[in-house]
Amino acid sequence: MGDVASRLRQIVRGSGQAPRPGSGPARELTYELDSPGWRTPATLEQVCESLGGTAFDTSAGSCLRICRRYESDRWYGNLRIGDCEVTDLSALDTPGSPIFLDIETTGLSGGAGTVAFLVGCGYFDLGAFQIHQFLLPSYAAERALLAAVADSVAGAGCLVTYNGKTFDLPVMETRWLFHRIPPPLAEKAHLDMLHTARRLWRDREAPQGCNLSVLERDLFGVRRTGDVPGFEIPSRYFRFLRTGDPAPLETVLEHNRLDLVSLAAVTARAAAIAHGGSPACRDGRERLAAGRLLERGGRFAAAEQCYRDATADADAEVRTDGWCRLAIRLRRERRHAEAADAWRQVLASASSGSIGTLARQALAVHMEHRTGDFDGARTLALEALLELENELPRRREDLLYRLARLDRKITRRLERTGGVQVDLLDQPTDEGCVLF
Amino acid sequence: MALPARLADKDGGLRDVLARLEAARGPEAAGREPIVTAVERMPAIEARYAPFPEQTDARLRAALSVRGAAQLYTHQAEALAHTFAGRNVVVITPTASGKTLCYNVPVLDAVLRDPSARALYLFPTKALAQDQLAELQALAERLAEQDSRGAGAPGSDNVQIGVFTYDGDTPQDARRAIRGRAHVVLSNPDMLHSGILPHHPRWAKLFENLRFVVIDELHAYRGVFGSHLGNIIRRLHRVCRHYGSDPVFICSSATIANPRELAERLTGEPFELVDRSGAPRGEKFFVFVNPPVVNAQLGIRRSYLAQTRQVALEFLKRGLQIIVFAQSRLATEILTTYLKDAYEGAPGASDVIRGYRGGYLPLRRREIEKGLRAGEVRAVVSTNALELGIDIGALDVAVLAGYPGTIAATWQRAGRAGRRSSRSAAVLVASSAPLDQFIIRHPQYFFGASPEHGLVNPDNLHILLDHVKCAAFELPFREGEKFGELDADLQAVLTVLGEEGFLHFADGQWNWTSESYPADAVSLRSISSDNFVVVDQTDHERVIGETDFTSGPATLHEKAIYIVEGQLFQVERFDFEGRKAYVRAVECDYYTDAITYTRVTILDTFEKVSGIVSGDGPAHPETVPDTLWSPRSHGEVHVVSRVVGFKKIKFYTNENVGSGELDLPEQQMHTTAYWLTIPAEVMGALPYGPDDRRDGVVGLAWAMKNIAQLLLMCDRHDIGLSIDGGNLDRAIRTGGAAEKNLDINGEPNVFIYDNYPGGIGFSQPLYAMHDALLARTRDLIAGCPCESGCPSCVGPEGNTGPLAKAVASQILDMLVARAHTSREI
Repeated sequence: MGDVASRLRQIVRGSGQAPRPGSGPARELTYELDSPGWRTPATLEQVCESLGGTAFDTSAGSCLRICRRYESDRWYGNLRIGDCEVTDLSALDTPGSPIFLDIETTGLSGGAGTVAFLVGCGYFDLGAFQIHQFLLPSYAAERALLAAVADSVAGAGCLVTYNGKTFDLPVMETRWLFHRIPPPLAEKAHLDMLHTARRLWRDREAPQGCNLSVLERDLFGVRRTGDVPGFEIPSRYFRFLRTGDPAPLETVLEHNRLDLVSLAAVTARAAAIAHGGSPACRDGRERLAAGRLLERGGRFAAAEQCYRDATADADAEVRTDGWCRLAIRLRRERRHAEAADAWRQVLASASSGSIGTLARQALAVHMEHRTGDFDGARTLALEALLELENELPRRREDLLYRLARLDRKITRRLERTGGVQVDLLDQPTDEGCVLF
Repeated sequence: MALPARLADKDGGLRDVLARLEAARGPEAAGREPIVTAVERMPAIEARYAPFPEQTDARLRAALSVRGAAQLYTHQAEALAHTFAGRNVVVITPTASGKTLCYNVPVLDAVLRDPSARALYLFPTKALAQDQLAELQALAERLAEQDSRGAGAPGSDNVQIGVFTYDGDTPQDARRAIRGRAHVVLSNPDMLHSGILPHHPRWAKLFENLRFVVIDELHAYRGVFGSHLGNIIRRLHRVCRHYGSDPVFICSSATIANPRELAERLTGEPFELVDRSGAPRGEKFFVFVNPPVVNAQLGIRRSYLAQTRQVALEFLKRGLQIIVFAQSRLATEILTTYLKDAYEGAPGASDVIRGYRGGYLPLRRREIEKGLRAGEVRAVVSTNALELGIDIGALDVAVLAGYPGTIAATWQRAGRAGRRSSRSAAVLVASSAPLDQFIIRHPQYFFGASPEHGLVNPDNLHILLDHVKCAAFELPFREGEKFGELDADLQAVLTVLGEEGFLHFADGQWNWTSESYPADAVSLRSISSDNFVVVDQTDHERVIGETDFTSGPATLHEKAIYIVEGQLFQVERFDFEGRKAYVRAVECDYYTDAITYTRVTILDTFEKVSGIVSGDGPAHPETVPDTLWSPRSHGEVHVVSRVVGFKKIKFYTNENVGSGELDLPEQQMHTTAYWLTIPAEVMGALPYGPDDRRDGVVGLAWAMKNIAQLLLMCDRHDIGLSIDGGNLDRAIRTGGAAEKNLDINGEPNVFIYDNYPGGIGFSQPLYAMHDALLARTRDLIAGCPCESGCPSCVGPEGNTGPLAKAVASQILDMLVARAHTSREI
């Protein structure tokens, strides 16, 4: 029944439904030849010339290297490249001088069949940002590309990526392992800026996941024009492989370079905040985020300063948050009296909502255990309970438990002091909880 | 009734029941069929021992002897000799004959000698891997303990053997550690296919040092599943070559007719066969029970479940530990209830009778398994979930409610009873299904026949294509490379995949040029990954099941009854385009059976015997009778099927209580088929009217399909049946109604086709078994005590017509008799 190839074509095209016999082949040639250059791979020289690169020789053969230099006085959005220079990431807990890494791949799934066809490396050189991009002219050149990348990163103190922890580095590691070469990136210190950026800016700039292109727009006012969408990148590379025409890769190279520059800029901004603390922040919100980042890094004094400065912010919400973060910070340092004052500030500005409840609960704990003001604690706990009317049962239970204990304590104190027991809680709870 | 103490005289009890059953066997009294059709005694077998091969690591021998294996059975020694010599081996031995030792010893020995050595075990299910994990870990711990006690000797290696399961349940964060530390990875074909091979660079340590691949329960890899595994092993070979390893394969299997052939077909490697067990066995009885006929005219028998209950209780009340195998989850629950009811009263007693099936939580299953081993659980009612090698110890009696469908599975289940020294018994209770009735009335066929063949077809183009994609994702194909034995076809596949953009040829190799992860699109348990999901909207919408694409319309059409764990659901809306069926829980006492209209067109005939009827080789012209008697062929066909309606069938009585019409899209496929052509001369020689002749062909086809299933060792759904453009189901349903398409006056063809696109390898063997197929079909029909057709032979009389049985018998007589005549000439 027909030749194998036409049956195979039917199966590949996926319907799984065979055509009726006798109805003739539905279509014979549905694929389009991409261009007249089909199956005539371009020579390395042609590709080099077209993309403005050079053949890069390694012990494992040749790949393609494209070098671009962004001089320090060049503008990038509202920044100059020179402002992005960052050579010391110790404030972000990463040692050594950084090399920025970003790869473009033939797919997102990972596994042996996902290839990094473009590896971009960026570093600062006397204020200028130097980018080396290594491109696979064909799959056969992969060992050369890997050797080139290994060389490039060998001298760097650390790697900086954006989402590299889950994507770029595992993909690269797999490539080395595929060729049975020990992966050279494993021992390098690595800073995945995605996580830092999330801590600093997720709340506002990029609520949907801290996309690099959103950050560069909001932080630096950069707007890319004619940028290639990420999902198009693999198919452009495949087109290049089939036709030998490197033109579709132009925008991919540019996309990769802009990602690297933005990554450097974002890193510089984060490092400045981490290093400079509150004074380096643009506004109160950034101060709050910076405080959290500094706390994580164990720099408590700088964090406290961020929160204190936030409490003086023009924005009421920022002020409240600032008091709240400050209170938590102080409590962790066992500065309980100061913490209680901060909680009172929270209550003064935000007496309702979850933040108010938090403050009431914290104050109730403080009064019950440290100042012995049971009545005050009880009032706050009751108020919190009312706030939590529609909240999670577990949180309510905690409060009910506290109230029961407070009432026992108050009763005992009353008994000890010869007072009269009164009906302390005449409000019935909907859970029928017996409080005595 | 309370259960008697367990320590009663068990042997006496067993003999007691057997004597009663033997008495029921008797001669045919007053024309009545016997209830017990066979009591086969299998004598006790003495153990045959052999020493460990010299080179076995002393530490391993010590650890094994502590665990009760101080010496080997002969088959174990034979298997070890092969593996130590680097030869692939397939071991077929009965249940509980120590087959795991055949692979654990070479593997652990290799690891003890060289800690970098690795092994990969494949089990058909996750539960089996868990079961083996416990045993291997115990052995590994024993080795480590011995080592630490004997430590102090400087330079002695620390024996730390890592044994891990790696499957869908393995937590993400544990996976990295397992990749690095596991000496032995216990997994399944699905995980190897989608989780390990596509990520082979991360498993470099395993593949560089892979010394053994163990495939347990080899017989489970038949049909589609086996055809997938064959391709996965081809991929495994490629990856191993990439890392420079060449593992030895050790396979173990239940008894099948062609273990070596199956192993060789699945792995593409030569194998040594070890099939003579040296394990001891106590005396064993196998009893066949046929429930009595209660309505001779309609061929209705007493419910086999009730009969099973009665048999099981006989053993139970004499203090014997039993396992009851049921055919479905529903039957399992029913029988569990029956047995529990019988022992109501004694507090806590119900816990000694347990059900066991897929769908129970793993913890509960482990608890039941433990109870069985400890003897606390006295009776377990199970689906085939306990048929495979889960360790439950050896029980006294196995009762099989219904014929499991294959000889191999029957022996496997019967093997669950049988201790090494004491007496045991197995009882098969037949249902009224044709296969059951054939087997129960032909015990000599069962006890004499070789078991079935395990058939696979890794070269099925649909399956092959999927795996070539996966293979190309894993490693580029080099120019001229082979994939298994494939050569020319592989180049064609690569070329087409290149045209379609999945691959690109450059620098002498085919590279993967697609963003997709091809393994995700392939499901090993069926050919097409397209499926229908079943959405229960009784309370809130939730998915409760899925069905593969081909069987979707027949099982999920509107008003169909869909059954999950004994709960009945009715399909309210069937969304063919959206591939969803919306169901709601119902209470009803019937289930539905779809009526499918099927038309088969011959596309290409591969082989054909049109001259002589039987015997081997081509016919001599002078021996050919003047007419052609039973021409048969096999080849490629085009099948169009459409679900046109359904019947409502009452539980227990199987009465037809209603029907409905349906209008669903056609499904088409190319597949392979065997077909019998009934010559015009035979049709013409039948002294019956056209309607009766048609009924006869329909009845013949019905019986043939059932026998084909028996011969092919396949599932009911694996093969389809059609008569020359005819509409079989409808013909059966509508009885005398005119069937225009059925060209009964010409030469009708009876097609038995592979019910999978591309075919799965049943047609050619069936063609080769043509003689047996006809002869056994004749035995089935002739041996059936019904008067004029029943579900056990040519189909129920009310559906096939009053003379179907007579006509079918006569057609067969002519075909088979002529066959004998011609041979004698």
